[in-house]
Amino acid sequence: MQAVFTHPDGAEAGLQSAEAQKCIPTSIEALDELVLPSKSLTAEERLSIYANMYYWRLIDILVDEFPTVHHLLGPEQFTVVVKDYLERHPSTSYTLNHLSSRFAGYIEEEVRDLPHREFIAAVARVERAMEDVFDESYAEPVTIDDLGSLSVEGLGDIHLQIIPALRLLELDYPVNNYITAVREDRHMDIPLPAKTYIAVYRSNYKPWRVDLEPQRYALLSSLKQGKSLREALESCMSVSDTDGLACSLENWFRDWAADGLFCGIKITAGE
Amino acid sequence: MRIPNRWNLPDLGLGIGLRTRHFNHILENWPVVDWFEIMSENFMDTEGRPLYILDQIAERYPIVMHGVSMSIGSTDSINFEYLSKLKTLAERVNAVWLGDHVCWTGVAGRNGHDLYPIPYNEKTLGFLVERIRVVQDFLERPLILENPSTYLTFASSTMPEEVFLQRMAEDADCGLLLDVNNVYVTCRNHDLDPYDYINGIPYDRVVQIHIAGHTDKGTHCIDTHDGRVIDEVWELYAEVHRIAGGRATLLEWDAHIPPFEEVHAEVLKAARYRDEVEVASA
Repeated sequence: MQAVFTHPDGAEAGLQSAEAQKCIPTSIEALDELVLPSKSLTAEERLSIYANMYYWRLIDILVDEFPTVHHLLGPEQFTVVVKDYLERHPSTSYTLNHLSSRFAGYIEEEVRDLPHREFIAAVARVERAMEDVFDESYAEPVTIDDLGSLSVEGLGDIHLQIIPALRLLELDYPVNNYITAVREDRHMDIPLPAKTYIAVYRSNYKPWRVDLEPQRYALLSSLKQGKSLREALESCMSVSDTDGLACSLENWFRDWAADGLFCGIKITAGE
Repeated sequence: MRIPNRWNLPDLGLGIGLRTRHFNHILENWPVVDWFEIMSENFMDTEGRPLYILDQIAERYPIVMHGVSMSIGSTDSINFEYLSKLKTLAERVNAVWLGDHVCWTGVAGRNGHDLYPIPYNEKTLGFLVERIRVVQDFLERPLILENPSTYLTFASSTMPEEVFLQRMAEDADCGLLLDVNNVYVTCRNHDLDPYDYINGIPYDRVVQIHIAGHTDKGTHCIDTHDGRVIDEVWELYAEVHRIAGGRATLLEWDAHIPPFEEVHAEVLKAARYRDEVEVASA
């Protein structure tokens, strides 16, 4: 029955599908032996109510989660893409939270002949990251004062723990301003490719997304990987020159602490 | 007439389904509402804003949990990870009771995220009863199961839905949530008399009532929860109240959701039907 309800071409095609026939061999002509008609609807029309609702409901959810992808594709193309996505990657979880977890990867690797495919995939990664951080585990943030109280001596050996609700993305297109423009109903041309780094995180229970300089991305990535502050700073310095880095570092750490990105301080002596 | 439910679960009065659109209004105004019902799955896998808001609301209002993903009628194994999360949430918000639907939502590891119908016969009855018992043992509380809106009739069904519900509730010792709008929608879709249906319900098992709006397509009705309750459904509600007496009543409004006051005003209409019955009884 599920194969009938979820077939992208409707109940009749679903009924004739190999999956359905394997479970209950039947035909449209013999359908009344399984499902009774009502006074107003045939058995097939009654099955179609469920089949229509399946895609209608799930497409609606993805429209909400990917407004910029929806804008880029337009309603018709978006529907075609999402139906194909759902056919290839049907939900296997009781929660709808995971429904679109593979959508960006699907656009990137499985869709063919889609104009601006790489840009759309980059947008989808950011919009999915916003969904992820919205629901991610909560961790009590440490304050700026907590950071300020650390002694300078041995500072390099500390590990700053990053909240779970942070995603760091390395993208081939500058998508952030475009996403903002669409959400504010402003026109913006699709930008040219350019290496871009974005942090998507939750602060005060709201998802945020900010562009990062390569050094800031490298530093935050290293900390997220669990490296010590010394190792993280080394990776940061390896990205580009160190002019003015000391001044930037102070500002970055102040901003990150204010946004609640740190949730723990661990000192590993002797490292 | 008064038929209390056998667990003496309280008549919570008139409640509203807690929806994201109303979060800010509730936090800013703390409106006088008897209770809230939450959709369990919206809060089970998040530690973000929904749960943060729910914690605050649960401190001030009774909370009932109503799920859509238990898939009690599925042939897949019972998902104990799901049940474990459900139980944790119930303890967190001190849920007065929790429930789901008489349906399946997926098989073979897939999920259609819809309330799919089951055939009503001896075989499915026995199967369902056994699963409900296992779930209730795990949750350590009665499960309150709702009659879904259905759009098709299986040729293999051998008994009316209300008879199936009555026998299921007795054999599994579970509770029922009677969705009066679903009774109307189902009966319209299956050319049945809704009064026959509600007269066949075992009210000592009914803990809660749902009311909602639906979409009338002419040839059939869809349970869309996107508008006001129609008069015919209110009349059914009044009849249920005449038979059973007070039951916790919840208005569902899930699409095109209007401002909080409008939703609240709609559920408060139920007070009129309840009062009319009280006066007539007196």
